[in-house]
Amino acid sequence: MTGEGRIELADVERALARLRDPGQATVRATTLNLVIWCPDGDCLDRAGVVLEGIGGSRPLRAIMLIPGKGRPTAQVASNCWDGGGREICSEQVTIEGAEVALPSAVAYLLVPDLPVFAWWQGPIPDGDSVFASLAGMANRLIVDSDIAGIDAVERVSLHSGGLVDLAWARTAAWREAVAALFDAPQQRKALGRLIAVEVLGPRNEARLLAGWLRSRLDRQVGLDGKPAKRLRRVELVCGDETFFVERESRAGYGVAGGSSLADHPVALPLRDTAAVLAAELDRLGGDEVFEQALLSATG
Amino acid sequence: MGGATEPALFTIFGATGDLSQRKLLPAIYNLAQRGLLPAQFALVGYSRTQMDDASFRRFARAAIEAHSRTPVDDRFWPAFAQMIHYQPGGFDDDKHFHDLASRLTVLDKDMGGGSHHVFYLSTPSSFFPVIVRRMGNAKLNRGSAGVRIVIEKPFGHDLQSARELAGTVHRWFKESQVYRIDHYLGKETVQNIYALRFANTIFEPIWSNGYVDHVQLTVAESLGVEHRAAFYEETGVVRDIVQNHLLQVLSLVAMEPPAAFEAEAVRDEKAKLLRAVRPMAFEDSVRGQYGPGYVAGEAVDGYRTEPNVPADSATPTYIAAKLEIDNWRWAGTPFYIRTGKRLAKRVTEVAVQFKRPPHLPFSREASEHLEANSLVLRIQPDEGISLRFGAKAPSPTLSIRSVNMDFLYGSSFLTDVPEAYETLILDAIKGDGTLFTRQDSVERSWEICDPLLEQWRIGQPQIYPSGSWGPDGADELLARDGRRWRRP
Repeated sequence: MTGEGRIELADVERALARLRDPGQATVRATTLNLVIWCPDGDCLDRAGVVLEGIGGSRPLRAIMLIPGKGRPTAQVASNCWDGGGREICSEQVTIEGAEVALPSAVAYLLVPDLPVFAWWQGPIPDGDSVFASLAGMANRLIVDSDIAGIDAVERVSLHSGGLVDLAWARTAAWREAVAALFDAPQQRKALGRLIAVEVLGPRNEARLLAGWLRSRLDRQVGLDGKPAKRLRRVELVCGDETFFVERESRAGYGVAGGSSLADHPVALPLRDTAAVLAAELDRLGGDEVFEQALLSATG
Repeated sequence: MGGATEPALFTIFGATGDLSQRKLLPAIYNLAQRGLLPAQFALVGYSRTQMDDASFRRFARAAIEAHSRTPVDDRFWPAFAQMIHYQPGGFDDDKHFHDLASRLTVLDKDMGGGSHHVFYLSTPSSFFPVIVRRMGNAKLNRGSAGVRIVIEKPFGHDLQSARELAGTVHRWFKESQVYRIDHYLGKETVQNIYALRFANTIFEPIWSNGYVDHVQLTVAESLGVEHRAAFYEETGVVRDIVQNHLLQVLSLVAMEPPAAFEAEAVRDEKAKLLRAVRPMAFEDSVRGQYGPGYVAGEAVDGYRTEPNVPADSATPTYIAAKLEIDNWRWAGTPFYIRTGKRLAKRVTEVAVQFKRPPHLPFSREASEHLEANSLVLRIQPDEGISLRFGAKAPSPTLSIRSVNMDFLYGSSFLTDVPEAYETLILDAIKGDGTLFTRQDSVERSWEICDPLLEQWRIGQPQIYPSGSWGPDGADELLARDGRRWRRP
């Protein structure tokens, strides 16, 4: 990473241009803006790890916001990766200053006309003007209901067209594995008798999974959740039959099976936040399945 | 840039004023340093302030040191200083103009005779009529070689006053001698519009209503009115930006190819285009005025609490409007314009938004994130061109996304970009009027703006927060056509 010291916002573009090496870079490619709310040092560190993880796969401008005091100032850096003989570079702008002034700093520094993803780390304050401003600028607003709480996320979803919940995104492989349990005609009949789901995992992810089943099947499905740090097991009660998906400890795969289904391996990749978030950067707009699942989970 | 060769005398009326210090003197210095001025050249400052040549040379040096894009070279300065002269005088007495004429005659003789004369009126426009009349009385409008008069905007405040001003000027000067300067037209990237359109084969065939859905022109300023409140209260956003800069840029983007890059050929095409622009309509426009807010992290006041602005001022600092061009090339393709003060950032750009492909052979999932092509000409800052096109996102499945490819003008040509005033002053010295505005274009521009200005005499602007992209009404203006503003 190359970078410069703390500078005025007005000097950011020039500083980034210097980092791009004006002797060569007459053409650059950037695909998106990623605005990251970093209310504390941990969040800032996490954002750094995630950006490193995204790497050169999606050349972007990251704007990291640190609430503080006074007129906002910035630090800029450029991260470059070898892309098979070409350099793929992302830009990183870290802005620190009075909270109320930060949205205008973002508006000033967004790369024109590229999609804006705003990743809000931490709890979502009700009626917060900074949150509302960033959400208003974003094509997709990224939150995590495991941190912010599912009810807060549901509240936000009423006003944001392109909401991403990282907790929901983490369940993607589980949802695929659960859906695959009922691919064959015999099991599909059992799906018609689904009455409850038991989940060993984070409470919000359990609620989202139950909401997903309710909204897809358009009927009530009970939830029996047992807390765990990560999703470990999902069991579906279909009348007198049961089906399950279970992760082997610390492995990227698991086992699925059921009353009329032999146990078989399924892919449950252990994706870190960078991987989960990077996948969401490839989508624009709303996710209808998630929105309906959220509504069913909280309704 | 090819230099001027024929002897020239360059006189600045209002030589001690702000424009002269910030732009004219530095521009002339840079032209001289780059060897672009004729070998026989003299600069004459004219102003009320009493001083002699030596004092004005010191004054000029201070201005150049403060505002020039290149530092003053001590080895070059003595030679340049010898070109600088000063003639004190006001605008209220013919005698002062006769004195000036005598001084110019002496300087012309010293340079060998036959000099071209360029008179730059760097004064408030209210002085133009009296200066022109006294110039005529002193026969400064005649010369053995070319005589040109350079006028800064505003060229009137409506159609009638523009015609009156032209009538006064034309009493003493022919239209071919009048150089109406709009510094926007001297910017490298504005001139690059000519190059992009007429030096390439790939753009012109699709530069029409057949392929272009609409065009967006944005002139956004992050500053407020600063110290110009009194002027701005009289002017407002339409007279300040739309009638001149914006319509001129629009004419470059939309005009037909000229037969040659020559003054009359280019200006004929621009005038023809402006004649096809429908006058602005009240129902297709939105006016705004900035309220308090934050711009680039800085807290700023609203317009009505700026010094010298009435607390109930209805002066618009923002406009968004839809313009229609009634000709074969553009009928049905709207040109949306917006300009304002205290917006999120300073940027001037032209965005040509192309139509969507008539048929997409891809699945809905594969192409749901694909946006229409656009070509963006960024005029300031970060001059360049940006092309948006669809590309396959790296994944095992077919997913198409829009990507931007940016061409950065400054990084491609590793030379200093000249200031707009350098280009325009050199053109005036050489007698090339291509980048200057002709009276018929000025009058047509007022014809386009006047109906709206008349209707805006009543009503109030929508207040928008400083640091935003304007009032909500601007978004609604495009939304009703199923479109949205790009974020510059």
